[in-house]
Amino acid sequence: MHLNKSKKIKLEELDEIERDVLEEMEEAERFAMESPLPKPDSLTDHIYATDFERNPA
Amino acid sequence: MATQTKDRTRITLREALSEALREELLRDDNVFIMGQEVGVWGGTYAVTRGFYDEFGERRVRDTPISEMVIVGAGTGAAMAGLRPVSELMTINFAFLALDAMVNHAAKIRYMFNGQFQVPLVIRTTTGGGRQLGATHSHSPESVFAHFPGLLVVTPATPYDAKGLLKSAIRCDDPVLFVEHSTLYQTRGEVPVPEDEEFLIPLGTSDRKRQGSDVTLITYSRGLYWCLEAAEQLAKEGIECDVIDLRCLRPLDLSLAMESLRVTNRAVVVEESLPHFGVASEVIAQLQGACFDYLDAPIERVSAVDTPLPYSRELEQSALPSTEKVVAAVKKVL
Repeated sequence: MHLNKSKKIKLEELDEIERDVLEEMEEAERFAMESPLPKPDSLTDHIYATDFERNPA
Repeated sequence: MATQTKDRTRITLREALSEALREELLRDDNVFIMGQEVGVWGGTYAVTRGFYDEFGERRVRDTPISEMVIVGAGTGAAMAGLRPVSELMTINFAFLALDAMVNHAAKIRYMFNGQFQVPLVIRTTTGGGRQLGATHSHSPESVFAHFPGLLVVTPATPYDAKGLLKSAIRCDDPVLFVEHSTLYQTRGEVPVPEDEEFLIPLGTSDRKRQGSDVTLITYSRGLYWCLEAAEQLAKEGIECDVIDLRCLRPLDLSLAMESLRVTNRAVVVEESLPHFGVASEVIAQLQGACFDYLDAPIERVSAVDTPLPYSRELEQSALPSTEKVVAAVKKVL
């Protein structure tokens, strides 16, 4: 409200931002729920960018 | 003063680090240094002396005394495409930056499915033995090596320091680069500065002395206790195979295992405290892989399980020593 009172943003613009955020969140939720569960062998993917050789043990 | 042959130069570990940083600053405009006193002062241990004048304040940035900011800002800069080298005056202060190191730098790539990388190097010093009291004498490398996503590099020689630091700066993962405060004046040969491609792969151990009676496994300052012990024991006809881990994560035990299959006996030497430490991990892995080859339980030489005291005599008695390594070797023979 401070931004609105200090005339930096209109209430309609704040509503639009809120609508956009909500839409993005709902899309993310939809994507997550429709996606398959991760495969067990992906457990250690992306820990490192570098492909270090595995310890021979 | 450096002496130079055709393809090698004999310099201190401090000079080796300085050369590595300077070469990488010249090679890649995205590399920059930030930390407390790294600029105008030239670094607490004088590693960056002259850099401020040569590269300017944009590439060599003095920061406030805030370890969380030094590592946090470094993490952000790395995510945005730069290659920061953040310097923490000592590893004792790294505890103040644990959240940035462990929860941010080490995990961001994993949490965002590989979309971000954090090519950040955090240089710091470790170790006791200088009467700096309990809060300024830690060797807590194992704390940081505990976490997947964060590399921990622990060089002991000028050769390794230079080659590993250059590799760390070029690495796309966050690296904690741990220098021992008593080793900056240690001299050794490194390739001449013009050899820009002098790199040592991260996560590779190195044999520093060949022997067939007992395997000594160590890193950082422990290397010198092991080499001195090996020298003494050789006079008694006992030959030690000395393996320098050089990196704690990734931990390369291939040479140690190869050695243990010949010697059948091993001692692990660390300056850190014994509980939940590097030696504990190394011994657990060796026993799992080489149990049938062992002729004696693997021994470890660590610091005494106490905060390091200020008193010189008490501090020295709490730390590992050449004599303690010799005694441990005789115990496993």
